[in-house]
Amino acid sequence: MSGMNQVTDRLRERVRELLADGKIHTFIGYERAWDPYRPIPFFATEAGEAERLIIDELCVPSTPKYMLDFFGREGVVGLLVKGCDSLAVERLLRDHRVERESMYIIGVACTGLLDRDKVKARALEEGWGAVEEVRREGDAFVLVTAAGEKELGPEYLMERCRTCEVKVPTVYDELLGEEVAATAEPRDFAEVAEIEAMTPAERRAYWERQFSRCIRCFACRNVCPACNCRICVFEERVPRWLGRKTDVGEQEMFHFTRALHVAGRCVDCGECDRVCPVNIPLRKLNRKLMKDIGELFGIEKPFMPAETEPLGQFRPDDPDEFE
Amino acid sequence: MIYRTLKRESMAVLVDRLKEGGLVAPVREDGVVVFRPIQGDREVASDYINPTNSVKDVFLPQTESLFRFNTAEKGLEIEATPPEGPKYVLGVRPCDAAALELLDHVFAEGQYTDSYYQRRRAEVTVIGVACDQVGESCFCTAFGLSPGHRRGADVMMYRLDDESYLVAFEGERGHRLAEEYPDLFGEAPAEETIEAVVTSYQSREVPAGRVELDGITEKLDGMFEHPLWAKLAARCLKCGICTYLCPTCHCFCLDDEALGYEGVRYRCWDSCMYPDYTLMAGGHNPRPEKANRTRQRFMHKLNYFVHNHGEFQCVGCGRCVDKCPVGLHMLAVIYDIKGVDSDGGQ
Repeated sequence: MSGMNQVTDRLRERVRELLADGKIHTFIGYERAWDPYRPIPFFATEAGEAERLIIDELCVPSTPKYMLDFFGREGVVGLLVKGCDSLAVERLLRDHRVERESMYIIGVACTGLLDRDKVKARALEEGWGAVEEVRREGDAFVLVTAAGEKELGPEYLMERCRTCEVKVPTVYDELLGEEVAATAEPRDFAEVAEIEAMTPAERRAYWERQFSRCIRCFACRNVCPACNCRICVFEERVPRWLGRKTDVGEQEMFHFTRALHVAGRCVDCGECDRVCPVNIPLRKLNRKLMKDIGELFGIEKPFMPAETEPLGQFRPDDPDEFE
Repeated sequence: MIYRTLKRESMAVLVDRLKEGGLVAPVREDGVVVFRPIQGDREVASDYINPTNSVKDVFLPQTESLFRFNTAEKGLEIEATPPEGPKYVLGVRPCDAAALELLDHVFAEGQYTDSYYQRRRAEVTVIGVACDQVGESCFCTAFGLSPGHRRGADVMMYRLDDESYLVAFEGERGHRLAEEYPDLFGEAPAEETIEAVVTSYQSREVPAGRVELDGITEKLDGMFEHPLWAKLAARCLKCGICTYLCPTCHCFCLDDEALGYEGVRYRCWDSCMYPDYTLMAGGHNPRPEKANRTRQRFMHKLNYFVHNHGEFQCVGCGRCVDKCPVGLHMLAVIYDIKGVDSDGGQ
């Protein structure tokens, strides 16, 4: 198993060519920035900027949602897309929010991303200084830091990567890196079962506590590939569906409405969980709906965008528990 | 200024007493530390760099009722809803305390003052705890502050040794607290000890705070149309994390919640990072692009506020640095501004 950094040179070369040839006007990838443990999305617009691009297991932020910023603009945008990101691309395609022709997708096979917060905590504790490079060696991650090479085990994987079954992007124009077999832990929804085991009163208290921390920053919505409405219901003024007030009622209105709006369309990328500044376990909420949809409609991979989606169609043999 | 000592075990007693008057303090909850009202046996967190939300939440709550109205009889009846809240806020870091004095420029000074804000400032005692740990995102020293500064705080606690704190009480509210609980606070240590402890905190090194800000305001004077803004803004998610967690961002909007003839007018936070923040009736938006809004945020903090109030509108608390999901934060942008040729903007 080799890491994504293996393809860095090839990536830079291809982006340089694509920009120089005018095949794309922008390429969205990653660069190392102020915090080297947290590479940030980088928008290259000139061939010379391709040198700044990097790709490794710390490159987490999803790129496809940025396509909405280019809505209505001429030309092609290049995108660096990992497995999870490719589901986001499919989401936007199936929701008719982007044109396939407006994207040039460079896919990269990913064997799992590092949990930056966990890595950073250890780096600070042990004084590793800046990280320059991340490699994969077998099951381990090797970080080349200012304090030398540091090895991290699979326990530093992001939670969402443990059960990932989409290591190779499902959609791309060219693929960098070798194909890797999906060796995922089973999607057992254990964290959902924990919530289901609570009494209704406990469950209510649990979510009220979570939502009461919400600052209504809308980061979860803004990062979500399934939240792609032209005018979000929460931004409509007439009628006003969501008050700006941040009491329990409005918070529940926001979070439950959003969860139901993305039900059946959530690709389980986990970006909502990552961006929430106050640790609201939003992915848990989405996965409860995913689990139910999977069970009720007999769908094996309810996170995969499909031609016909369970909540987007009607069949006479749909389950009807209220009969 | 009065100095006293407080035994570590007396801290719990102090918390219990302050609770009766209404206390907000940091608590650990689901993996984050946040300022919360302290009720019952809720434990106050001690081992944290800075709570995720800021002390602003106490003085400028995210949602605040201003008045009730009734239009059924006599045309219009209005009844003010006086501000409610705690009497004490504990565990405030020096950066957050200093931020209150920046908010004062906006809400408590000049021609237009805000009675709700002013009343809270007059009534709430700010009890700070100097920083034993410096976070890697902390950069308070860039703004003339330090892990031991007292600006904006009524009380500041410094760790004296393993058993006790050195407590500094300042101004009317600070002195009142010292007088209220004489049994809790011990005699001040020797003057040299006080001096040594306070200096050790105030001279503590803050690595990210070494960033040099000289001349940045003047440079920004000429950068309104600079292409840097579009380059920076490209990665912005248009979320409100930076502005809502910021202890100095203070924009709000007014809204009514009405049913029939009766209702409440409340104020709630708003963010210049939101596309609808500047949306006018009629549909025109003077800041239609992400680049316009990103520029606004950094210009306000590093330029407009300096011109209007004589100092930067940032205290280097590091929340935006820690929490921006795409690294579009104050430190990164300061370095980017310093790194570009300002001529690009004219």
